[in-house]
Amino acid sequence: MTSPVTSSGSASGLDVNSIVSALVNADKGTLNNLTAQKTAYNSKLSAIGTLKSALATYQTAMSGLTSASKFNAQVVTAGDTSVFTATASGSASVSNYAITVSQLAQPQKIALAGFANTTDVVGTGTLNISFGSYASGTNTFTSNTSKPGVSITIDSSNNTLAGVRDAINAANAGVTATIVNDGSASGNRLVITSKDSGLENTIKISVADTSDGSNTDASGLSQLAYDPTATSGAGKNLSEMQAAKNALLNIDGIAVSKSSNTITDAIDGVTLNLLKTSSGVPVSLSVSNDSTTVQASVTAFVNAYNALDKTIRGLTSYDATTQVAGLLLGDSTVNNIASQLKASVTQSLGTDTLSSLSQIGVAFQRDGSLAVDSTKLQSAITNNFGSISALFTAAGKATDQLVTYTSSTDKTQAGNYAVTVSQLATKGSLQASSAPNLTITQGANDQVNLTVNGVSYSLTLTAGIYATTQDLINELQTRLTQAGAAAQVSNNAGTLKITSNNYGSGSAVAVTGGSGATDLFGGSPTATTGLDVAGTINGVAAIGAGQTLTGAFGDASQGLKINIADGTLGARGTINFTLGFASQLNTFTTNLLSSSGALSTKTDGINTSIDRLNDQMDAENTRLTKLEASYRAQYTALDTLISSMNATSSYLTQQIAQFTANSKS
Amino acid sequence: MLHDNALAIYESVALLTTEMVVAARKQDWEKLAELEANCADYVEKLKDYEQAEPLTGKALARKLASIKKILADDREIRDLVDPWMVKFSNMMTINAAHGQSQSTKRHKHTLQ
Repeated sequence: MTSPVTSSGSASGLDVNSIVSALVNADKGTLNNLTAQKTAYNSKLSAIGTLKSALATYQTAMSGLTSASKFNAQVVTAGDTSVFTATASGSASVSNYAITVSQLAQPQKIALAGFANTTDVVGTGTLNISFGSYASGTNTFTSNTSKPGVSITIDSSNNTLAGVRDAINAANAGVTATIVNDGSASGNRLVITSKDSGLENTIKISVADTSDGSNTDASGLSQLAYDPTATSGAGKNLSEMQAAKNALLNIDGIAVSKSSNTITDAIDGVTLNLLKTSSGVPVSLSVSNDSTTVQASVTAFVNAYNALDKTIRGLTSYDATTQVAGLLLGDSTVNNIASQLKASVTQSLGTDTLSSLSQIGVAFQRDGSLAVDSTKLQSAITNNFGSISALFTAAGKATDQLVTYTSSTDKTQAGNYAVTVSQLATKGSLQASSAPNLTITQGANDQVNLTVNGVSYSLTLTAGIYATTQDLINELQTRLTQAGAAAQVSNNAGTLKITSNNYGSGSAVAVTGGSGATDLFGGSPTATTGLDVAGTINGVAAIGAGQTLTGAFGDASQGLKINIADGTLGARGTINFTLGFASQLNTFTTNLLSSSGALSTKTDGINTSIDRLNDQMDAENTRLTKLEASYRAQYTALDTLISSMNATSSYLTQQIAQFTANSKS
Repeated sequence: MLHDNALAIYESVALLTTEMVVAARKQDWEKLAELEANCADYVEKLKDYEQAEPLTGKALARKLASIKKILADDREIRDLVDPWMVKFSNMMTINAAHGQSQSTKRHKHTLQ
């Protein structure tokens, strides 16, 4: 029996720890198998992680290519950018224009002079600032109905020149007030400038002057009265420093007059920003298609596909050179994804002019990657520019002019869907039952509580005797606007009517109380709730909300939103909804990566297997620990046994030896 | 009579070692260790008695017969325990040569 040098000091002279661990190692076959299986599973998990991350990168790229602007970008070039600059929306016609700018639009500016200090008192009362067009020939002023007037209360807290300036600026009344000091003795001037340029934004300021009772004289608050049709000093008490002007231009021989220098509705799809007049010289404007952007977008689409394809290939193929098999070689889920990807880029869409990628020069190479033939793409850009965006993005085309495509969801399927309308959307309103009391007394009838579209508002009207129903309407409109209510007040045959700005069943106006409720709206005002549009898309009752019809759940048109602006009841043509390549692939990869997608199911399965292996490994480790303990106990017992037997036998041998010695002597 | 005691103990030990042989054959190491502990106790006592009064004559012959029987049993027990110890020893040799080798097969290693 060999006895190597050890440190255990056991009777048998063996290293217990080494022996026991060697014995246990000899029994580790099962554990090693389990560990190898777990390692293989973990490698597969990490390969799926690599695939997921490549898919996520691809999904981001596709998502970025779902907006039409990536494929219908246009370049607008102005011959002289100091005269005007321009941008295009993507739907402009490719064309050249000659534009002469003879006048820029400007806002009206009026001023009141003669204050020594900004702390000088102006007066008290109410200012009402409104806008309209002034015709000097007939000396008439026509209100701008799209801009309701705003009333501003001036009392002892804000009756100085600076206080009036601040009150006007705080009221969001469509004007800016500033104080300019011209250096003379009474050189503080209050300058009021319209925020919007153009003839239709000429300022009118009506005053209810409580400081001296006269609403038009040049003292007290009525110093600020400005009626363009009145006599200077008797109601037109500020001087005009700058007249309101429209922008005047000539586009290819057509004279155009616009109130703003930002013109969106002169050339279809083009926004012009006028900067200065062109001194009678026409300046060119050319609209062309932005080939560079479209080429870049198509290239991005191709590059994203190739990057994903490369990752999938690496994971699923056998490298003959390195003799290494991809970690997902032969995996049916991954093979399925790869073939679906390939199928989705080789399909033909239901779009009209352009329906396949090969038509714009995108095709598979012999090595399985996609490539762009830039000559072919350029020719598609030249000949079918308007059709390229539908090849990549979600698009809807309605045959009816008053029906427009709004949006879709990833559940919406491509198709040509018939649209019928059985009810048009309306706005909710409140109609007074009698003419209003034009005398508003503080604390008696100056309060009215309303709900507009479900939101409550408590309004306090400025007390006073209103000259006309329109004046009272202006005051009520001011209070509504200031409170943030989305509603318009109008005069209906001498009675008040409030109409919500919104359409649909959520659109409603109701009077809920307040001391002035009856004086303003009569004893029994009529509240009419708005109606949602109703109709069908693809023959199935659609969901109506306001003017929007949405394709029904479960139908192919699910989630397709279209806007019905107006028009007749009954059949309203069709909407052709198409899903371009980027949209489809965005949806495809989004679903793949979702928690219920095929890859998640796969990783869940692997994780379950790993959990099971972990349990088995735990059990095996427990068994090995017990085995080690039993080996150790066994060894110790035997070791003790041997040393004890050694002691006994040496004693007995000694006895025999002694006897032999004795008998020899 | 002390020598009677000593002789009785020798003969008891001889009986015990017979049982030990049986236990070792069955590889019942626990039983073997238990019996051996009893033997060790007897032998401890024996030393005291024998110091006091050496045996002579017939008693001595009986004592020697018992000792021979005990030593024969001892050899047989060792022969049965040894393979175990050899196994340990082989393990030892393997470990000394390869460190903590993760052998997954159980086969007999020969002594190096």
